[in-house]
Amino acid sequence: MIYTTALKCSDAIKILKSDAQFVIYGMVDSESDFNKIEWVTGEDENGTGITTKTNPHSEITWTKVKTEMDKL
Amino acid sequence: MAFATIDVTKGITGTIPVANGGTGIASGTTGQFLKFTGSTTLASAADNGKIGQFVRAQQTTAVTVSTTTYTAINLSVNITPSAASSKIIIMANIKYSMGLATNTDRGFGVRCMRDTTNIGTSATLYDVYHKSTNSDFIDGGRVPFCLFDESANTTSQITYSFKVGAWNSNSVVLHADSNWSEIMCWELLA
Repeated sequence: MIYTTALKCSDAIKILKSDAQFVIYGMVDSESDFNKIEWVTGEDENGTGITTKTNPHSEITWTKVKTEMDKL
Repeated sequence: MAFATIDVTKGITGTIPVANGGTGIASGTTGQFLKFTGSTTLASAADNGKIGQFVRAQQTTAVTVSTTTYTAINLSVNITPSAASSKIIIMANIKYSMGLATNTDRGFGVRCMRDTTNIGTSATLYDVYHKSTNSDFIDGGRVPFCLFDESANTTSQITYSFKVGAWNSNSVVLHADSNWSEIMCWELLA
């Protein structure tokens, strides 16, 4: 399996905040891609995730994520 | 020894019962099949189980799921049943990869949706599961799912889709590395 930028980004986010919940569609090669991550903020009545592209975690920024990604 | 013959096209009226080796019916309908009924007579049957249509869609763009809640994985297909009485068979072949350079167990569950209605969900988020036994594991494969939807009851367009939730929110990659996943639907006529 290729260690893609999406996986690296996922790992980097988990390093910064282990309980963050999100979905990444495609790769994360830039801040623009990072801003497309769907952050899970809750569940609807059917148990399906409620998501937003607005990052709710102040401790997770593109700069910090990129720094962690470069270490991986 | 003399061998007598009987012309069965003459001298016989009515229908021959099943008990006597007949069909129990006077005639059949073009395109239909014969089947046994509860009374052991044979009847001219409708075209039960005929496939009305087939649709499919593939996905090759990776989706990384890192949440315990079920979220879309961009695997969906539209179908418009020709009759409200039709049943729908939904099948999926989902490519997944679970593997990072960390000693972490990983797994996921799958949910099938008819538009916004949940019609089938894995009992756990470790329906597909990989137990890590070392610090450098990679697991990947394909998971087949098949559901039978008897409650569509519409002739309007339906969107069937799959969602995934990751065990303990540990990342799982669907349609990884440009390997395709597929969803297929059959309309089964009544």
